[in-house]
Amino acid sequence: MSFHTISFKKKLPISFKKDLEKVFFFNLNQAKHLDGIQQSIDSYGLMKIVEDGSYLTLEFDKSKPESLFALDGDGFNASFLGVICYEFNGEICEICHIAVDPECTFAGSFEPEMITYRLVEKVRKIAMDHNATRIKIPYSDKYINIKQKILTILE
Amino acid sequence: MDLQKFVANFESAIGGVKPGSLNPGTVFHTDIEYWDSLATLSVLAMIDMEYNTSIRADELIECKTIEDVFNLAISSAD
Repeated sequence: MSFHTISFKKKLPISFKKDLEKVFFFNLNQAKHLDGIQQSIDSYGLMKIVEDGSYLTLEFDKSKPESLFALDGDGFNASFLGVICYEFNGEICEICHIAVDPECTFAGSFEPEMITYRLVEKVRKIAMDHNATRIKIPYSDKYINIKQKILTILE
Repeated sequence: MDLQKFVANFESAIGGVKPGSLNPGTVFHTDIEYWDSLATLSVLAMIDMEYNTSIRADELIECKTIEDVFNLAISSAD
């Protein structure tokens, strides 16, 4: 099976603002995790989209996590697929929030691309470089060992 | 590794399901209402923590039943 080439960006071009808002604020799949999202808000504060020149970043009231945005392809024809926010707390890499386009979730047309797992795997590699030992799964109290490879496909 | 204990751990990992409602033949993708990628990650974490072995998400989603996951975990532990 061949996979789409996904590009990962730390900042999202401002032209994707509506796509980002749609995934973050109008995403019905998040209803499954309302309790966990509420706990996340309690911990990190409300999230907001921040314009930084011609780019967008994400911030919480109580923290400024790193963000990684996934795009299908690169350049002007790229499509926004999802985002993951994370921060380091000692040896723990905490995933504060993750949101993907509904088409990338189960039963979506883009599901086979496994975007959520590719985002988590990307963060795992970053966390390894920061000498983290575990990754905290969002909206839960569960942890993934840093050596736990999530998947093998290429970026 | 004990299959019944594995099913109980599977239930505990994903949460939100009535204890005892799953069995080895449960087709988790379709039979568990709120199954999603975060549930997959929780199961990976459980297998690593409880059985000190690891499987990948792309391997787990190829499984159909909980027993398939159990067998995958056993083969990974070998």
